[in-house]
Amino acid sequence: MSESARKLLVPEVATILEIRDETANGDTKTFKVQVDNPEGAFKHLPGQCAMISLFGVGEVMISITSSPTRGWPLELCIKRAGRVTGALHDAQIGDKVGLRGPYGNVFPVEDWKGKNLVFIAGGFALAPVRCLIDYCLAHRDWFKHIDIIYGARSPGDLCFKSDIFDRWTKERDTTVSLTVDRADEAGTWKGAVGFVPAFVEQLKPSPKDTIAITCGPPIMIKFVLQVLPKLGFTDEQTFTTLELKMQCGVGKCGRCNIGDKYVCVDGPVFNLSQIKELPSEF
Amino acid sequence: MAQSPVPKATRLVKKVGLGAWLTALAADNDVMAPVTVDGKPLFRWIGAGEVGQLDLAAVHTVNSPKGGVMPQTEPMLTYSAVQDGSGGKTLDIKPAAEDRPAVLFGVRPCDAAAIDLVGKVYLTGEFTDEQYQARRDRTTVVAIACAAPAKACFCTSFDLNPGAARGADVVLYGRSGPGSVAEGDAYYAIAYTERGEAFLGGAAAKAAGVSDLPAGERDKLEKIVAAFRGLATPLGKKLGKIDVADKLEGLFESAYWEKVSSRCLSCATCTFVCPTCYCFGVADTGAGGQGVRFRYWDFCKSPQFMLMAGGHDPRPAKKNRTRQRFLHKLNYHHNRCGEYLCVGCGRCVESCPVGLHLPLVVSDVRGLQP
Repeated sequence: MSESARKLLVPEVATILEIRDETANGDTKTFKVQVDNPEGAFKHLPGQCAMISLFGVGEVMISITSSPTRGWPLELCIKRAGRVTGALHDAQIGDKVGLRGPYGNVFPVEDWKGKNLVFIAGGFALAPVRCLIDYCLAHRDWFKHIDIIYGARSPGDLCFKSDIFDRWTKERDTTVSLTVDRADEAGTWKGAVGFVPAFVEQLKPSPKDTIAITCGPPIMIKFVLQVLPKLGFTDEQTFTTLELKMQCGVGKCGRCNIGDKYVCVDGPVFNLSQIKELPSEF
Repeated sequence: MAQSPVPKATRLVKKVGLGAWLTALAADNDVMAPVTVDGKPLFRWIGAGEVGQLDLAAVHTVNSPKGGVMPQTEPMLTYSAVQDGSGGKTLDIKPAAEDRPAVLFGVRPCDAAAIDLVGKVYLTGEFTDEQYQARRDRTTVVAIACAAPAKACFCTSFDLNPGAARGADVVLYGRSGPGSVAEGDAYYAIAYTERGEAFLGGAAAKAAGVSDLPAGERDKLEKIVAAFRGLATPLGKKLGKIDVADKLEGLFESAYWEKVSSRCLSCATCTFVCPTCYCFGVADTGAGGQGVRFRYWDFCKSPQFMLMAGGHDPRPAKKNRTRQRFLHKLNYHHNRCGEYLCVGCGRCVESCPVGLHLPLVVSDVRGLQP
């Protein structure tokens, strides 16, 4: 370990290798980052997050969107939302960032062997799910059918376009279903139009031997979690990943709790049964 | 009541020797002790020149000594960006340098217990906070038993008492026993840890005239320690043992939180004077590519505490934030760690400008319908 890595909240120095626009309006970008010291290249699993920082600006917790099966460099998909993410959006290739992690629990993928998977995501919240999708596709033999249901406000807001339009559609026994809240004015969008929860209800994925994983804006998650039980999914078959404001990421700073659970160490992955145990304060 | 620890060493220290002790300690240690500044008793880092201001009379300093192990602002790293020879950028980060050994002197048993209680958060679980660990490893806590607990004291509502040794390396017990503020001319100094034992045998202790116990005084000492440990606390007597953890499970949605929080000023006084409030934030400061990343005491009653970029705030109202603070202390921490996040020091009782404090909430909660 490098000298800096011995201290819990002291990050590795990393370099931005690539910045990719995800959305037409430029509000969401994927950053490819590599640690400068190879010994600092930590290993993550799907569901986990990392703290990325710009020195002099601050730190934010971001889900790791690249699958561990792809190794380093890591990819972090970041929406411009506040001070730190804004500064990251203004950063250039070659700029230095801080990186520490991995933090949080993981999707219990091993428990899902032999099952069908349904991924339901909205907007840039496809980011944490993408890591899991790619991990599952890298272990394709573990699973039966894989369903990817994804929506965004408009065609331009759909992230990871090469994955959703190309790469994932070529995987065997894998379906990608896309929807947008509003089609574009140019009329080039030929796919489904409508909100994700209604789209799921219409597609009716079967709950038999199936695990559903959902992530999206809070309002989308709320309604998807109402639709899935209607389709017959039990609380134990339904997983999501939460986020709250974090400062340390390691259960010390006392910030990201929901009741007696800390999202940073007890989450971010919860099944619906666990979510129902939490007070409604997230 | 918690098991009393076994003494590792017992000595006698005369009151007149305390100044020499602190002066000798200050040569090699950072020393934090209660001093009176502008009429207010405060825990402060003191230099050898300020030893004369030592004031062990106040049971409650305005602030607790928690800053001795959790500085109000604490650098974690320094960073500096540099251009390398080929025009590329590199960035150096250095973890914060470690300080000298420290002695927290004249700490009340509640505050010493708080150091141990909060220390578990930093030192247990999946991650250990090495910076905190290093600071604890170089810190000696010298507590002083309370001869006359203050009106707001309620340590006895927990597994504590005015003579408890939890979190302390050494405890000083007034030779005349409890009941008198004067405490007599000397203290029994009892070491409860190896660190404390070494401390009492060290050069600074010798300079202060710390001596062996006079022959035949052991029985008296044991009686006096027992008297300190059996001492009641005024508010603790009224409040009894805190017992609301289970009941609070069913009161998250109670209208009580809205009602009790309406008068909160969100001023942070409760949090900053509390020896067990440990929540921190992390921030950077610097310019020109050089600066410091530090952590700082944060407070959960701040409207910014949980406000996320983009505007989402899971605790948007005083109701949410007040509920969070009291449930953290009386339910969440109890669920996670098996004990309340409070030691009954009473500072919130004395300091809250609108009288919204933990004993009040405990009393109110007992009367609520689930």
